[in-house]
Amino acid sequence: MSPSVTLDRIPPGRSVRIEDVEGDDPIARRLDDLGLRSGVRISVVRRAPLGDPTVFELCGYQLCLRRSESARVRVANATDGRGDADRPIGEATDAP
Amino acid sequence: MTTIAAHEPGSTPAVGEAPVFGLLGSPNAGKTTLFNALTGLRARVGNYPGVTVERREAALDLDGRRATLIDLPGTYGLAPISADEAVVEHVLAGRIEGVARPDALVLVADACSLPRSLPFLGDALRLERPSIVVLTMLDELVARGGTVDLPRLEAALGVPVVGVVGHRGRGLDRLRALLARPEDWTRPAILPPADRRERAGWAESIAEAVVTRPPERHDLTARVDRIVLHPVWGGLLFVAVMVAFFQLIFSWAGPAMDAIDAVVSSLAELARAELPSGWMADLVADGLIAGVGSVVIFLPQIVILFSLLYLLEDLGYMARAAFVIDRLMGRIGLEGRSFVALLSSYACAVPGIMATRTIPSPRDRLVTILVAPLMTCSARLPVYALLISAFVPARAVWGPIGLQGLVLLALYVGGALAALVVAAVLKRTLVRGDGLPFTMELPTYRWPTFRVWATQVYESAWAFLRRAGTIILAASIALWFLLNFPRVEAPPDLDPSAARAYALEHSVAGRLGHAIEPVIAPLGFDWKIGVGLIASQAAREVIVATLAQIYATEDDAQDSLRAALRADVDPRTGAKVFTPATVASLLVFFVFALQCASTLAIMRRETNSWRWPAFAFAYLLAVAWGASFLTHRLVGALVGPDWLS
Repeated sequence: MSPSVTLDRIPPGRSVRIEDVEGDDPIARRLDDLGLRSGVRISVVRRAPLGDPTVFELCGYQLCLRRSESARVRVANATDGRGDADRPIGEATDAP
Repeated sequence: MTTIAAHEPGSTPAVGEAPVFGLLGSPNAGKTTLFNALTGLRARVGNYPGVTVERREAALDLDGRRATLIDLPGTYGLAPISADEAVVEHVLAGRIEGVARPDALVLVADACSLPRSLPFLGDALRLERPSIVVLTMLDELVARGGTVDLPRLEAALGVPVVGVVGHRGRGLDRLRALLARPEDWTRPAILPPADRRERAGWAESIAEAVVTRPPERHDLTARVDRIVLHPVWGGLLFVAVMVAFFQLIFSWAGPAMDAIDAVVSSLAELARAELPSGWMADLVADGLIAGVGSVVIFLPQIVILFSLLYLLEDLGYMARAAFVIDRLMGRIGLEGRSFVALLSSYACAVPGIMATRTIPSPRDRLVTILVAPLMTCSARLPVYALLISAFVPARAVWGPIGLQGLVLLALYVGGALAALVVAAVLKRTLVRGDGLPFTMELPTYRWPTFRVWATQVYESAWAFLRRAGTIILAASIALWFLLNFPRVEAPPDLDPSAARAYALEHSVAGRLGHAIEPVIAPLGFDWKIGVGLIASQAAREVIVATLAQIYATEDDAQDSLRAALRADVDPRTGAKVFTPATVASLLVFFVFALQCASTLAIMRRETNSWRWPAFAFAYLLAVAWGASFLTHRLVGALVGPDWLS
């Protein structure tokens, strides 16, 4: 397994794969509803001028989350991100 | 249409002769655009009982077959995480009185983000009601170079799938034809898995099979956002847009409001000339016509506000504006989208409160509604202008900055600070968060369509007239009666303006003014100010005309009113009525008190109960009384009564 970090630590321009969303409370379920599920590729697009929230891109759309929510999302910190924020988005998974 | 293996009869409820369709989908899936495109302007708009969630339904005529379409509140999943979200669950179960249980479901999903929505679609199919799937935003999918294999999606889900472009009306004929025959809809041969993880796997495999080319990032949006969301330019653009937005409401609405005012007063004069003189003529002229005028006067602001608001929203900028300002609003427990509503309230709380509809969290929306009256609306300006020009010396403090301007600025800032403090307090006490995380989609930029935009503006204006206008009209007429009855004959030796002052003192409102004097005396107010406060319940600026009537001066000669206010003495003590302490106290009272029947009416309409307007009125009155009392004491101790003379 690659070492994992939380999504709020990933700088803009990077693209990573989601490993897990912490917890099983309503907020975790809502994040799941929004597409933040394990295996999904997510790009960090940019932070707001005041530093929070951040725009992410996943499943073919852009979503704003505050740090308090993105800190619950564990992502793979492998180098497979390669900063490839410009690749096609919308793929639910990478090949295993 | 692909035919799927026949479903076992009896396992799904039959659809009635006049089917009820529920439109189910996530907030930005284009549900409401689709609803409007299908129903035109026939929607009945209301609220679900007990919550501030809007309820919309409309009758549909499908080739002679009658049907009902219910636009369910947008939701990301069927497991509700707040009381307000539970509305969807309750409607689907038929548990809400007066709302028919949907026999069949129209599941709406954005074609570009289909992989996200598939688990939700799977969940909805597990409800085992006849369903179809409508994929929206096909134009955007194509523009971004994406393709979705609709026949394959139809085969995988087991229900009919239609692609539409709601705002252009494409695909609607096929959808209408399908809606006319819900009995013929195919049903899934196998239901999607119930377990969350298994369902995610099910969704993933379908997404892989049907999303033949995932859409690229929207190129124009990415390029525009590099400027619009830029750390420096984005912030500056936000300020510029908000200043322009506010300025346009003020400067464009002004002439229209003056014109309405002129028409209303000439109509009132006409009525007075045509009707035999007496109280009936007064009622028609000053009660009825002026009452209708007090409703219509809001229309320019409402139409302009919503024209701009929906233009920015349809373009895709509103979400960006909220994104830029979210961090600051987050500090007081609200979110970016509350900002625009509060800013609009500077012009008038009525359109400001209506603008809270863009806030998805009902709790945040409620708090924004409750503090909106604290923003200094334009109706306070005539009151501030009268008192400041009469009592604050026009002397320079520093360079071109005068004392009068500083006092006015302090009143504006005071209102805004109070709104922020109250919002923070309410979010920590009475209206705690509903556990909803802040999540907001950034839509791609698109040119607004005139029809969609015009429909939204028209619906807002019409909703105001029908739902709040009637209450405002009734309140104005009731206040007219208070100010004019009982009619007491004035002694014959009085001149006309003194006779009008005499009549007012002996009206119900005049007597009420005397009755509340003990309560307002600690604030430095006498009965005459009391009558003004009662009359200003119709609208804040009415206190100016009422004081003019009490002091028996001409309405439009403010110089004489100012002189009369300055000269007035208490008949018992011989002391000045308007001391610095009293003037300061009255100004502070107007910063806080909710003296506006129209705001109460629109609060009632937006929160669907009298509970919240009553709460807002009570808390703001208590704050106003307390703050005025302290101000009166403080200013009285700091400056002597002769400071002004």
